[in-house]
Amino acid sequence: MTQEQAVADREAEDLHRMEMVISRVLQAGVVLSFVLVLAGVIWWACRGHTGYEHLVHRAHDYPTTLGGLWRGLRAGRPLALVQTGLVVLIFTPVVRVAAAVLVFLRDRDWVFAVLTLIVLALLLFGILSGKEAG
Amino acid sequence: MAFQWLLFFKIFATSVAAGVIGALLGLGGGIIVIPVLTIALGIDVHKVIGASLISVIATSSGAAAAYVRDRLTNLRVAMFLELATTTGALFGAFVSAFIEPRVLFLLLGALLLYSCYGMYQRRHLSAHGAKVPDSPLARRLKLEGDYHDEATGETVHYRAGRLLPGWAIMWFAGAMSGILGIGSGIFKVVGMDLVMGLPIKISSATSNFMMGVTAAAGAGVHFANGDIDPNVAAGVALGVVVGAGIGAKLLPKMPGTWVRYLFIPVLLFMGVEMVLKGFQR
Repeated sequence: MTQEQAVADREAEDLHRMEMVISRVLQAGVVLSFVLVLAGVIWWACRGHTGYEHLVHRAHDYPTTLGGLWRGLRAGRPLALVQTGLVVLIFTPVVRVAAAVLVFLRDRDWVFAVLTLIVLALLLFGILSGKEAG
Repeated sequence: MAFQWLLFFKIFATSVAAGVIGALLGLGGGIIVIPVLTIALGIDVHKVIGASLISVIATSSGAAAAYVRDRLTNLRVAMFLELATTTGALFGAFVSAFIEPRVLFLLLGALLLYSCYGMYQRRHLSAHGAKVPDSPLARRLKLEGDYHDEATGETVHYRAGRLLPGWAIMWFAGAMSGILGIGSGIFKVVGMDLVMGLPIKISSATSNFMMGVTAAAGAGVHFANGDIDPNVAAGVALGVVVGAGIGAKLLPKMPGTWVRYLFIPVLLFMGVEMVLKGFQR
């Protein structure tokens, strides 16, 4: 085996390991989200109300910001738990991109590190763009 | 609001079906969830779009493990193109809030009809992708790979080409995803396969992998806009995950071609329905 081929093989092995880590992250996110949403729905069905009855006259009678979500959870509102599960799902691919940034940094692959970092920033910008309400 | 058992069950059942069909056809569930929830259940189209993005993330992330295991996903190509789809999706999601429902219905109808056509066309696609001119940038960025084709038993080397047109299509696919709440796999596959010359199996696996990030970009903005309504999205999220699980188990036993033929008239019908709804108002 030539040295070049050995390097290429090691690179392929690294890439595959990174792929496995990333796919585990994704699966874990989906499972966690499923459990949270299911628990929230059961809680909501048992209590018979969402916990956001005071907002029925508003456009959104559920949390639409991360801050609102946190306050809803602390106040013990079932729908906030459901919404947390949904936000976990939205964050799952974000974590996947963050993991990719770390891997590219470790490999000193600067072009791809910057590329994925920009994607990460854009994703976070989107989710944090909401205005505080409720 | 009290817990609405019947509505929750209807949304859940629809989403299970969407998950099964989506897994069998390699689509995000959006293409089924959106028409049924808006037309049959009369739910606000903006909230359905938000819920659909949730379903796209769930199916894409859930399936990614299998695709990665098969070594068909090209991570470098995915990351390179995600910059384009993410920008497009953010733009689309911001714009979506200002688009009238009737326009959304017309766009969705057109999309369903186009998917119908695309699915019919896909029979003719060869396994190797289009021939593309050599791209020095793709060489420098190592946008290439090998894969083992089980049908012919040989290992195929491929490298992406025509990066700029590919990027433009990915931006458009992202924008459609942000506006309409779909995974827009159909545009992504066309971009990678016909324009950038990637093999069809690599294209579809990479497209499925990218879908989650594209949808998350849109979903973040829709969440901030209040389009992610847990009253709707909870049933969709749970149903699609259950359905995709069932679909993945069925997949090896089902011949893909007749599922596709079965689905074409359904898409045709729903597409026409959507267009009619757009003109009604």
